[in-house]
Amino acid sequence: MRELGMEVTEENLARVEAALAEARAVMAGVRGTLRQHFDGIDLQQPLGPEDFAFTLPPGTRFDPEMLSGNSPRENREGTEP
Amino acid sequence: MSNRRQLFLLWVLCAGTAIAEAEAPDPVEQIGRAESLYRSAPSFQATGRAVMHVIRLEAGEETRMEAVFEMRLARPFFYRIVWRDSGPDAEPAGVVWNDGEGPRCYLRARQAYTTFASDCLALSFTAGTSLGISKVLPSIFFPPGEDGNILRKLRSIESLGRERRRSVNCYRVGGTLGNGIGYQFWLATNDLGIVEFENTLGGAPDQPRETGIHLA
Repeated sequence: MRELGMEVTEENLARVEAALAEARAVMAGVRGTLRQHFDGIDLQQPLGPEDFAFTLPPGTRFDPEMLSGNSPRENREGTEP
Repeated sequence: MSNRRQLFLLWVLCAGTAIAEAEAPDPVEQIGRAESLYRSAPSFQATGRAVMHVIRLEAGEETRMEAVFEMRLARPFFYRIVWRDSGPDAEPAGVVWNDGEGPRCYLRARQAYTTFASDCLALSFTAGTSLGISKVLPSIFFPPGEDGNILRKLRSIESLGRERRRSVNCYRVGGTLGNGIGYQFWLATNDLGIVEFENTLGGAPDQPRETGIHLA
């Protein structure tokens, strides 16, 4: 909960439990499968940090509210800690 | 065809089947060797596709979602997982990455990115929106603990024979997690790399799942 930015309180714990119960109820009413396949598997390629960089598309802003699921805040670009 | 020749062919068929079965490693051993392969590999690179197919029982509605992805993982904790709605030329729908500057995620739907307190949280947070792409294979490569690695948690492991998948000869191995979710893995016969996997979605869990969160 702390990693999600939530204070550990009785109230927040109840909210998390309620959300989980709702998610379980939804999942109990569905059946399905999730399938993944992999092509070109390489388990030996030497990779450096530069191979993991990602350039954000223009106009992308920093959104500290993303984890909580709240609406994005406006004009937060450049406020990343 | 003479009776003698028929008997000979029947013997060849039975003996061949027995030899093939004897050559296949024990499915528990196959899963263990697959886990070792990923745990000891310095890096992992692959492209792929994820397909989710769900039926809402009450409404009878079917939903199919699909994403293609590129995945790069390396030790100690570098990763970049990009998923797209359609072809490889489409704009990324989401990216979760750590190039040494900390865990981050970009979601096109929000035209935003954010940072995370831990890699585990970043990969878990994006699990749903990426159709599980950021969760299953990374949890095997970067096992956050005994509980995080799906191959280690698999129970009732059984051999489901051999099949050819993605032009690769595979062992098909099935198992179940403690919460009742069933998994099938197609492991390459040459090195036991995971060519494909499928897991079940939905249904009431066999046992109530606890959050693991308790007030001190």
